[in-house]
Amino acid sequence: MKLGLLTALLGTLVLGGSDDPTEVGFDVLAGFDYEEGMELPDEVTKLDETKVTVRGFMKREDGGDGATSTFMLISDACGCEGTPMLNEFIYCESEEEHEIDPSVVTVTGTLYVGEEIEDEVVIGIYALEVESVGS
Amino acid sequence: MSPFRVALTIFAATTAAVAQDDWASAVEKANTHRRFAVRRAVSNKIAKAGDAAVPALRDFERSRSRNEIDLMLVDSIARAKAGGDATLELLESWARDRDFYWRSQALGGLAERKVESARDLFAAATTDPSHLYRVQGARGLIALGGDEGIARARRLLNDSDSRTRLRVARHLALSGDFSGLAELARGLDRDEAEFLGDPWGQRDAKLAVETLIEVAEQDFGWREARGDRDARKVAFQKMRGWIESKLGAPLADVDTAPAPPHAGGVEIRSCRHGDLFVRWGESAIHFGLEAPRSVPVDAATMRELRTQLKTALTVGGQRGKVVCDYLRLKDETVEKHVKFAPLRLPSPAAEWLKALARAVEKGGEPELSNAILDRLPQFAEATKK
Repeated sequence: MKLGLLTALLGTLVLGGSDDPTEVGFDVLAGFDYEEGMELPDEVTKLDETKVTVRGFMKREDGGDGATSTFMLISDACGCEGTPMLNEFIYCESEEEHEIDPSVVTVTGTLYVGEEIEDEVVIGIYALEVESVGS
Repeated sequence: MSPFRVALTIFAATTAAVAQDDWASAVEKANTHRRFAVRRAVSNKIAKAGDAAVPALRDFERSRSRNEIDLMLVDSIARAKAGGDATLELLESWARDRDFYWRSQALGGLAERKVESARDLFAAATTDPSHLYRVQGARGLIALGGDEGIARARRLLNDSDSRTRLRVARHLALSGDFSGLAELARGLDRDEAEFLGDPWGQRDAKLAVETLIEVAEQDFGWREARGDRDARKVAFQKMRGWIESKLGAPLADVDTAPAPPHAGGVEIRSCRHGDLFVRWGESAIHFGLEAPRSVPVDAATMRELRTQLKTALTVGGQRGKVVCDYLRLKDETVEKHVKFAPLRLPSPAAEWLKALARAVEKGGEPELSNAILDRLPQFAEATKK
């Protein structure tokens, strides 16, 4: 089971059938040096508005506990080595509330890729409309 | 429309405040705003302002608390390289404060700026309990150069924590010193290492890969390999080959023994006391992320402890606001898993951990027993009167 979990976290990119979500990992999403205004690489732009499954750690934006409908999905549970870069987290929004799980979780939904800019500042690159959160 | 749109109105108000040079308001927002992206954007603006924003930061820590300063803000200031004397004084006061959560990042800011006057601080940091602080100490010494400092940094290539060894090897390699290349190879070897479900080895492998690509100025086929497990291994082999060519000798075989059989464990992340990783099995308690030090415990005691844990660990999920330090407790037999913020560990769970420490002491390892006990006060809930 652990091997399976690790395999998933390795970020194996498997393009499935038309209804199957694409399994995508942070090694692809965060696998480039992001700079504001850059042209994002094809390997992430091709995921825009597609259904994906991503494995990672849930973190509330304020670090707190309790159920929430919005959370960040990140690859490092601690984050003590520095805050995630803009291509190292996915902003997730769900219609349901979810408890923050200390384990690695699988999140499925529609991924949006592209710089969100306001007042000349990029505030995010990846956003996910969550359909489900599982173990 | 993406979910980010919901933040935009708030963000517009935020940036307007900064445009008026209202640094007090900006610092408040950088530390307290509920939206991560807003905190990040404002933190970057404050960092780029350098000394101009320092009085507002000082006011904030005086009127509130230093530990209410957000990691992102400290990180942004550390990386920005902006600022003069006031910024350096701020970073140094943070880096010297053992109670400040983000002292390692602050020390990194001094290392980034190659602050000669911090040489003694860098040197002292290399023996700190926190592995991140040790790494930043070494980073500072490497940045400043000089035989004595480099020698001290190199000593951390024998650190007991493999995370320290790898990161020091990275900083040495990036400075053109290849004495730690073998540690980068070991970082690759840890790709599948995990602790209680956390694939920490992947993060180390990623760091090793990034370092090797930068210093070797070649990709090793990594970009194409990332999404493919087998292709990753091929890329790793190419990287190992490059390291061997630089070392002029084959790399030694590494013990990649699987994790010891275990039924649960505790992970304590503490920037102040250092991290602690403990797992327990049927007749032993294992300390460490890899190549663990095992303490024999008689099977009856272990059974009793595991039974007691079922009643001591009644909650799941996350308890309290986790900023950096946390205590994660996992009972794999009943799949109970909880992460506690400082001062949020309930008494039954704290008492259980004390019982675990007693078993370790009985097993002949008082030092390891104390390693557990010393860290508990940071996490235990205050006793209700």
